[in-house]
Amino acid sequence: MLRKSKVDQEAKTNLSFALKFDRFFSKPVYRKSLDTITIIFFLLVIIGPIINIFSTIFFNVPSIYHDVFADELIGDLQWINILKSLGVSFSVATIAVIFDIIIAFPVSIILTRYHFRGKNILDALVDLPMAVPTSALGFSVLLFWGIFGINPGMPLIILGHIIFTFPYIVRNMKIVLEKSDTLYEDAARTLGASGITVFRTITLPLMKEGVIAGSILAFTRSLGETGATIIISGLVETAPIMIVGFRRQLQLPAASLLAGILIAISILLLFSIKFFARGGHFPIKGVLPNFERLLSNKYLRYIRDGLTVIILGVVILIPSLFIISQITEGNLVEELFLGRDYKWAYLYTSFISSVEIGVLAVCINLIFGIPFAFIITKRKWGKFITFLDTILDIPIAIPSAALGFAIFLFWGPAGIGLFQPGFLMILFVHVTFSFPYMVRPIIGVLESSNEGVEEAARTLGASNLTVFRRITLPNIKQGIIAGCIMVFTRSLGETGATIVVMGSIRTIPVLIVDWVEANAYPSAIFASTIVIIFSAFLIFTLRAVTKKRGV
Amino acid sequence: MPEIELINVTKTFNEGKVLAVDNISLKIEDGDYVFLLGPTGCGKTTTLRMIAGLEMPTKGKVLINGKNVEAIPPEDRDMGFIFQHFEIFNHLTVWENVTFGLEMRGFEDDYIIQQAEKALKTVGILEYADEYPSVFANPGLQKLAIARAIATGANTLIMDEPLGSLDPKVSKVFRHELRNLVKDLGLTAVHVTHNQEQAMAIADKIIIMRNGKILQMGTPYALYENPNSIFVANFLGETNFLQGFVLRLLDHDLMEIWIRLGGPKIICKNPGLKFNLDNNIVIAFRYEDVYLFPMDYDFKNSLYDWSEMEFFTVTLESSRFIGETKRFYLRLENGDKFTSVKPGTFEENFFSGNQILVGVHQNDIHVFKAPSDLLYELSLS
Amino acid sequence: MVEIELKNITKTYGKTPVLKDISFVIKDEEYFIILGPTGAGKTTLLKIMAGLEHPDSGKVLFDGKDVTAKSPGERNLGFMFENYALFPHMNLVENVAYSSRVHARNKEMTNALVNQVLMMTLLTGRDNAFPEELSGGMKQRVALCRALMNLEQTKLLILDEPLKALDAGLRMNLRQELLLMAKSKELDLTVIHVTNEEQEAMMVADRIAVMNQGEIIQIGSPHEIYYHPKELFVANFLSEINYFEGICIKNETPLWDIHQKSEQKDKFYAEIHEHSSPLLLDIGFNNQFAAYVKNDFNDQIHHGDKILLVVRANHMKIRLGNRLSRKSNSFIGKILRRKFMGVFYRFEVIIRVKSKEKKIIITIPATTEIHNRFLEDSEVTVYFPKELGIVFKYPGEQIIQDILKLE
Repeated sequence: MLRKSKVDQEAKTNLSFALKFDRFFSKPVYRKSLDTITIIFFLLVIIGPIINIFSTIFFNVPSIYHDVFADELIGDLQWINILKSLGVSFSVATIAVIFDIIIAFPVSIILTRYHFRGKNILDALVDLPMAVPTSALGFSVLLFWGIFGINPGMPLIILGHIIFTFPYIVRNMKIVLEKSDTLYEDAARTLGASGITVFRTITLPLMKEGVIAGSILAFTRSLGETGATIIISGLVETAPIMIVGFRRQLQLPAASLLAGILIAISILLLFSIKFFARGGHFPIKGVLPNFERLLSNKYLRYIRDGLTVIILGVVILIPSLFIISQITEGNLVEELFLGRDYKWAYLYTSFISSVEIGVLAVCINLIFGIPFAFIITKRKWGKFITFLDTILDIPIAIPSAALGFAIFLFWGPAGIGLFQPGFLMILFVHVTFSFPYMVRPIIGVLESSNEGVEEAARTLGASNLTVFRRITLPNIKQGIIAGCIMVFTRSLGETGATIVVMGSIRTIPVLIVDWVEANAYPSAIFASTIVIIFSAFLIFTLRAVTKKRGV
Repeated sequence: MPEIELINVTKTFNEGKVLAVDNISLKIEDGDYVFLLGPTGCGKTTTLRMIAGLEMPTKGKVLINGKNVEAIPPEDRDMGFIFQHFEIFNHLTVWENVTFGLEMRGFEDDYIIQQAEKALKTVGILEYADEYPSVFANPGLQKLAIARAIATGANTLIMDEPLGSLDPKVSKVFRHELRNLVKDLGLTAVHVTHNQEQAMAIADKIIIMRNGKILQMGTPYALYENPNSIFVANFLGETNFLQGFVLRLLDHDLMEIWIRLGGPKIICKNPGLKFNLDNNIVIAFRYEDVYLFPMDYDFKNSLYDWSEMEFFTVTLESSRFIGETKRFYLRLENGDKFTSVKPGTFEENFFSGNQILVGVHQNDIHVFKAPSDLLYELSLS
Repeated sequence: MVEIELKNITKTYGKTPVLKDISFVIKDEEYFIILGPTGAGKTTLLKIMAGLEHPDSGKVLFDGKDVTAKSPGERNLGFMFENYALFPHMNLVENVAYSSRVHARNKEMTNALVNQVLMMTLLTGRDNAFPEELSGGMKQRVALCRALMNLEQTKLLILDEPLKALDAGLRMNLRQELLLMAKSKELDLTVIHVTNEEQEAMMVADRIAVMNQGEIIQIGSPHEIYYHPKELFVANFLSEINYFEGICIKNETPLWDIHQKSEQKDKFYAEIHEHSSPLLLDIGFNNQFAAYVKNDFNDQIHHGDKILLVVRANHMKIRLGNRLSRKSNSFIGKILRRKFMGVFYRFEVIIRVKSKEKKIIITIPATTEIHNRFLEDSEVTVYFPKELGIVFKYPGEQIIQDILKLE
């Protein structure tokens, strides 16, 4: 039997520079500093402005009271208007979400349980509304339904919001469906359950959490929808539109109040997801086997699926993309290039601005987003982590106009005075909004990644930083890329808050709003088309990149 | 000098709410292949992780070569690790997987190449050095995991269910290669599993654990021939148990046991007069220690000394061919059932339903005090 | 009462053929095992039998009736999944009673039946527990109960690796319980049980279908496939084997009378080799070797053919010292390693074949004599009865590598 020789003393040891660097900075003190900086960034940039709104309200109760409730001329008319707008927003959100849930069920099942050619394209199309600038979408919706005589007003708003909130619900349903694949449904089938019964007794209860989370997120999204609503609302005012109005008329106390109310409602709803996800039972325990078997009939299923696809197409997909077909209408070239107000120049500069802001937003969010994602998944700080996890989504849930206004108040002339409306403030807004879009994909990929491999690397002598660089990073690469793309597209499409803080700079979405309001339709169509195509391209890249890892 | 020693080690989780390891002490000699064996949840993995330095004991000491290693992290303990799911770095090539640990320790390039080649050659996958691990099925990944663990020249292998991902058939062949490799390299090995057959097949020593405690430790032979408890007797190998009580005490440290409910009377050894009249006891004997004879067997003319053999009559319920062995399912008059195992080529002239004669040697009968809950002692968890 | 027949079942996923033209019959009330390594296609086959998947071509027949197009619910069988698939949002009783609820059966009768089934598997007293609170063994029993509750007309139980997730010891116990339950008169079940563990198959099966890479290699009783494996794969799968390359020389005048039965009692060996004839082989030693080959096989092995002789590790015998005799299948060698394994001792013995070294594996029932006297480095004689040698036509270097080497 051979005896292995002890070699360590003989072989020289000399760590490379990179490893020495890693070892040095793996010391706990550096990790703790990074954690602290990240959390400070998060609280300051994301939460700071929100708290500021509430404190502003608090400190300005007298003037708010005066302006909103007890104005010399109009009494509490402002307050009544505020309430009316809230009513409008709530009803729109409710109707849109209910409609979406009904359609989302069959769509999510089609996308997860069926296999057919072109499924990927359908999957991507369903995600599209989330990436495209809302103003472009809104404009497309305006043009499409205009053909049928549906003009700006309540019905159009509802039709629009159905589109904007749809992806949120479908996504959450898909996640839950994909997690359990067909295992439980197969088991139910072997026990004699037919299609509808399986759905009712097995699939639905299992999807519960996804449905609730998706609905609440969609609801808050609808509450906060600004950019497109401006275009399609006509004379009706939703709450965010009212905020924009107040801002334009410099009625700051009223704006603060409404923004505060909207933000408070959204936060409450967000927190409620965590609590309500567990409870709730679906009624009807009994089964009518023959009836349900009839309903599960193959042909009925085809009809149902067909109907779903038709509705999906007519209500959601076609209106979103309609605008592209309109590009030949009107005197596009004339207006764009030959008009006296240099529209082409404007288009060009706003495109550059949008891209610059997008890229910068990506960089900043990358620097702080990665450590933040690590904090949420790896640190064992108990309740504090749950807290961070919940408020991480606030930028998504809060109406963009309200948050834009909060940032304006906090950082602008009325507050700290660090920034003037303009490029930097827009950047701020974009960083705040897109932060969750960077962090969530990274969290997702970190959670499903294998901690065992990291432990193995540590046992082989790697310090924490080396593990991160050489083991974790390559494995979460896809999540990071996904985050970057999502941040960029979100930034590209951000309208509502940008309008509030923009000063003289125009990003593309804002430009579209301007042109629509100025009735320069061909140019607006052109700009929208470019943005939609660009976003679609980014979405497809995103999917191609993330597909490589999975089945 | 023992290489690894645990002294009064206890480990709790969740602020003391979960007691995973309960005051254990053990010694692992240099060069031994030792198994930590027990049912799921017995504390064997936690013990392994404390030896490795991946967990810290709540109480007690871990010594390696006589030194307290509490302050020494896993990577500095001169150990190589093999995990249940291999934990191969899939984004690195086979070669890079194996050189990773060497690189982390800052060895010179020439030395790294030399060691990595040696490791890959030892397990037989040198030709795949530039491939990615995705080309391998489980056996190949197994080999890669081993190569990575031994490349740094560690003297101890720490393994948590290393064969767990392999098909049973493959595992049965591969385990011998694993043992041979450990022996050829002169390593000490600590191997965790719940599979007693695997432990018996390749261990130098076995440490049996249950509910955080060590029940017995020793060579497979010692544990198998002299189990110290009903649980150990039942966990290792296949064992028959019959309940009864002490009927009479006899000369020469023997006693007569009466099996319950009108069963046979059997003479067993009573070393040190451990048992007294009327004690409720349980006797245990292995499946393969049950000898079978036709009722009309001619004992007088055979060459063997049957004086220490206990005989009783049973009914053969059924028999079954299992390949390497044959099983005979037997029933006593009192209804108790037990099993006999013979080699597969055993010539049988027995018919189901008939009575046959069964013999068990006194040396093969283990006697235990009857526990308050026999079913619990016999449960394998 | 249900007999299952599969006719020409084929299934391909994308470009990969998963099942290649599978046909066989499972008899009524049989405990039928499908045995094979991971990836052989066993689970896919089960799913096709259950109706959870459709074959690309071929038919499934229950008692002669074509059920290929029928949904799982219509086939009325009990299916147990590999990881049990207990509905996480229902408690124990709700899981077990699910099929009754789905068929809208009488509530009182259902309750009575549920209680009966739970008592039979010792699961009483935990009615309201949810699956995540149960141990592995209990989950297995619940899954079994749930499947049993579904058996009305078709008495067919399909088990997909039902014991795989359990500790080794528990697995042994539950194996027996499964068999007892299946064979009980009240239930009258036909059972199809998939596993990748050969011991499990041998312990409970009436017949075993050995499967590999989408094909059924052999179907037979444990006895049949153990003593008469059709291919090297089957032989290797059921135990550790030793193999020798050689040439058939059956037409030479034997040095010893190979019609003389071995010294052991006649009946056992005679049984094994009904309809077989002996073959003389040259596997590189000075003395001759002989083995039996089934007569329908015999025609295919001719004088001069290259063959592969396989002897199972537990069919080898071993004696101390040099007892080589020219007239039996024997070689001399030295014990390289020995290991006490409980019931058996396992020896690795080095022998010399044509000045090359070869390792032989031998497993022998452990006795005190072996423990004390058969030590490492001892010289020993290894031999085997010719009835226990298995002869195959030489399958080629590549196949031997694939089957016997591990990659």
